[in-house]
Amino acid sequence: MALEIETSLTEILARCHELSLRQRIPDDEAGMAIGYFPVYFPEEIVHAAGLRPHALYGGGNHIEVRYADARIGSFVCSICRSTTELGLNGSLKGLGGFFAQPICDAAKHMAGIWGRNFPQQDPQILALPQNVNSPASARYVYDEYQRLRGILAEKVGHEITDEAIRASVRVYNENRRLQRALYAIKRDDPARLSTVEAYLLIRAGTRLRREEHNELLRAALRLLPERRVRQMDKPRVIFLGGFCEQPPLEMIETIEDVCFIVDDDLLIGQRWITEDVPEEGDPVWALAESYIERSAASPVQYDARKRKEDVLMRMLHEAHAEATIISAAKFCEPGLDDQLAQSRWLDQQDIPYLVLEFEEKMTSFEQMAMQVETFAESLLFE
Amino acid sequence: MAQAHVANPAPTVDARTAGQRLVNQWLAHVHTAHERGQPVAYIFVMGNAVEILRSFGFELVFPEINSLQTGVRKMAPDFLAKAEDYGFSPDVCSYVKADVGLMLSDMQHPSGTRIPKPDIAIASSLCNVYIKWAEIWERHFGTPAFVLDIPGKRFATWRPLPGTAQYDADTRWVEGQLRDLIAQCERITGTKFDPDRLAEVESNVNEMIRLWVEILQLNQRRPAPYNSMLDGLTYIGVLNAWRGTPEGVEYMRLLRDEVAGKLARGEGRVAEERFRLIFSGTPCYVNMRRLVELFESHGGVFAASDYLTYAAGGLDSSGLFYDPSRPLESLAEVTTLASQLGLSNHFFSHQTLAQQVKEYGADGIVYHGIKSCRTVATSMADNREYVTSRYGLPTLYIESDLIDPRYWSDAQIKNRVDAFFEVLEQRALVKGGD
Amino acid sequence: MLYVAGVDVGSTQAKAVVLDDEGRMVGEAILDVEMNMGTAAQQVFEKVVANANLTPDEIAFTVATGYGRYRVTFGDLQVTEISCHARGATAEFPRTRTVLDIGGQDTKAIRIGEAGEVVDFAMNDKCAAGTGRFLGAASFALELPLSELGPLALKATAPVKITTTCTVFAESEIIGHLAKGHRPEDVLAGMHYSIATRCASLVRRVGLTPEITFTGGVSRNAAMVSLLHKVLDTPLNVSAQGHFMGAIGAALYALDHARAGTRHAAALAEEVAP
Repeated sequence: MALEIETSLTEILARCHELSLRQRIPDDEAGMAIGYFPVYFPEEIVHAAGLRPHALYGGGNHIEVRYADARIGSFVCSICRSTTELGLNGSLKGLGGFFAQPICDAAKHMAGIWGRNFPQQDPQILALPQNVNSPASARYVYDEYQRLRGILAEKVGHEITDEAIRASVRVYNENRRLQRALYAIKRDDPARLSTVEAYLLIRAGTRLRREEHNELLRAALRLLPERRVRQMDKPRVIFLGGFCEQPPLEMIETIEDVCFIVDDDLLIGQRWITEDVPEEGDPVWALAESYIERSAASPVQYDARKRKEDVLMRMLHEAHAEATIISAAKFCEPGLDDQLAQSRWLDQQDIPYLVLEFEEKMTSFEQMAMQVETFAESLLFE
Repeated sequence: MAQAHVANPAPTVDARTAGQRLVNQWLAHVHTAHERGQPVAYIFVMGNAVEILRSFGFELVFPEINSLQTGVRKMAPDFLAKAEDYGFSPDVCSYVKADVGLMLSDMQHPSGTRIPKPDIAIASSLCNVYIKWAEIWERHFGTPAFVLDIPGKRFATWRPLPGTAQYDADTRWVEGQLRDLIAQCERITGTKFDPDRLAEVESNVNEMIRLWVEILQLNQRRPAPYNSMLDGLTYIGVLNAWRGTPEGVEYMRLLRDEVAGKLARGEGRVAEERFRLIFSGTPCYVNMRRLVELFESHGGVFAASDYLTYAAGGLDSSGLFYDPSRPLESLAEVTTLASQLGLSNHFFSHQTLAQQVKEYGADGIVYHGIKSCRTVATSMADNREYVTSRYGLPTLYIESDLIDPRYWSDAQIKNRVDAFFEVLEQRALVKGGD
Repeated sequence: MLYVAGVDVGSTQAKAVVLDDEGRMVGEAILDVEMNMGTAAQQVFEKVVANANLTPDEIAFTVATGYGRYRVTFGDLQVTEISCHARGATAEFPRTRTVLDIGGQDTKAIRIGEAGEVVDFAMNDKCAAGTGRFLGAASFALELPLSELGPLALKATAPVKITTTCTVFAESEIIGHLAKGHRPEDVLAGMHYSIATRCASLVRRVGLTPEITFTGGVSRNAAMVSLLHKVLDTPLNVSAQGHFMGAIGAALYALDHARAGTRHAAALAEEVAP
């Protein structure tokens, strides 16, 4: 029985892994997938149009960059480079749309690059605000979401009704509940579900229709309680830095060899809305308001109510974690700036932390393993 | 240009001297602001609601100008080293690091000014690093950041149209935030908002817009009376610090008259103007003269630069004047339009550059990529590729940094510049049917 | 008979050629730069003039190129290597539209127009990886002369992927691979591949337009030629004189000026003569 469960879980995870690596838009989806750059995008509106939102998380460490170096400056994060490469090498020619959000200056340039090279995909900036602390913020997001709705309606040739959006909201609320359930297991029983596994389960959703993803997550959640688990004694840590460019899986594995990652910001855009979006009333208003009132935190969204130090403290507290791994993607200015603020603060609080820099295209992890092991040992011997 | 009138008596002082005096005066004011009980605002050149701040009597501090000055005065390495020792990554924007170095030097600036703490700090979304920078001040000074989100162009051909729902949505958003800002300023200064004072400031800015557009356009003629990447830098320093004031207007009138006079007398910036160029990017402040000299020695002048739009707060780009009868509403409109027509152009500038080449009769474009500025440099190479292949224009790409001298390689830059002029000369020969 | 000279002075080597007024090479010389570029330039000029069995007075016009071109006090004109490599390449291969010059210190990709003029160029002058210097690291680590690297790399059967992007760390990575039992030819092939892909990127930046001519010292490396052909999926022209291409181009510019001078002199003579 245990073997069956493990086999089923292994199959699910293998499928998730394959999906996560998928870069090309399948031919039968040509024109129906809407690409968006990190961090957050109101997928419900795309879903309601009958299109599939396609989150772009870069080329990872499997892509050979041949054309993008001629287009992107050298001091720019790898995710911009590899995403451009995916465009230039034809992997994304099936996209029916492309959106970048003003999370940082490099990301804004993605809209410019796409506009010059793939104008037929109608690339745009979805101008989500960096000021969410004004009474006028929600109304502005609402207007920008309505603009998005209009663009998508034109693409599909018909109106996207409020009812359709509400139905999508329901699907996504369920999806977010399932994701939260996974994270609860990761936090409360980390030996039962590793971060790499949770990661694959969540990332698969970016390549599936949400309904299918819900089915997949439900299947995994049914199997997990039955899984035979070996208890281990590893330090419990928070991992930060995975909000945009993704660390390679091998890097997460390297950390998990010696620590339990009990909370993190990996793929945070997929879990950006932290509670159910209201399913009654104006659905676009509900989504806009949720962006302002029911959302997570990241170095690329300014919010006076969510001081990064307080957010980190709460994460440490709620996950019963004893230390933090603060990573940043190379050349990621917001990540690097936050790294410093957080490490200074953790110094003051006398909470142990490890600072790491990564690139999505890394392929060798020996040095990192050494740092992480040393760190974990220091925690065990505290 | 001039309508027939009696020649003005020669001014007692030239624009350069007048400008220098104004800058010194401003720094002196900054130095004594708190002593005199004047509140201080930290602002950035792009998106700063100067008009509102002036109406409340804030003294203005531009940390970008503080940082660039460390470069100009060849003192950046000390400040940068302090910031890097403190823990900032080498890859972080060098302006930010220079400012951190300043904070770690007890705010003693190389100009001799002791920069006061901010009572308010305004960071707009026009450069996301502004916001991260403001977060550093939050921690160092305890001053909360006011983040002013100004929606920009969503794509290259985006055109904001007054009267449309989209225009209303964007300007309404900016106006809402300006109202929040006003409430904040009232709390800080303990005085009430004075819309008449705002209207007065705006009238001054209107005049400055008129004059700045004129000054920029004067360089469309031959020979170009000024170099946008050297003379232009002094002009914007003054106009930023004195935006919205009668002194600022006076300076710009003087400047306009001088530039117009040079044009009338055929006094070009370069003795023998051989090639007219458009510059895209920022200066290299630590080598600003040398950079320009490399081009001028070949008879090349920078007739225009997008820097004179960005770094002048988009003064030329809204296409609108403030309406003193609706000061707050028109401030929101002008701010939004300046953002969408000028200040969010970095990402989509290929069309504007091609347009400028036509307007200024330029022979080519020089792109200056900056090591630590992703706002300017991220897609410059792609932009350049597009412009070269689509419009067939000669372009040059050089790289260095805003203020970090470690990224300036003179021999290599000179090599590229020399080769570029060889290309231009060849092209001129070929065109001339030699 | 008119003679002209082209002098190409870099920070490590100085090269010079003498051409006659039909553009034929009558002398060539190369020196390592030991003291400074100015001295090396003078010495290589004297050497090439001697090789051509001439005296310095017989050289009608001299063009200097390379990073040290402004140190050449005896030159008549300075022209960048970009223009010179383009000029030299098109002289030998008239249908050249792209030039790739991999030197010891920097790498250039040059696009050439219909009239043989430089239209665009891209340079890698900031990072040694992607230049001959990267191979220099291999030469050092394997204790083999540069000239043997190409032939050895051609014998590879299982090229090793080189991950370092830094020439300084390249040595230790090579040693690491050798220690793991990889064969030197496979490691070398990996190094060559690394350079080839970087250079291909540079070529794409100016736009790959056939015919491509490969110049510079590294063009003598057969493995590099073969790899670039593969990576760019286009055949490359390679000159037997690739190493001297900068000096040759400079000398061709000198020839233009010298000819214009004689035309001018002839015109003047005509005017003056009764």
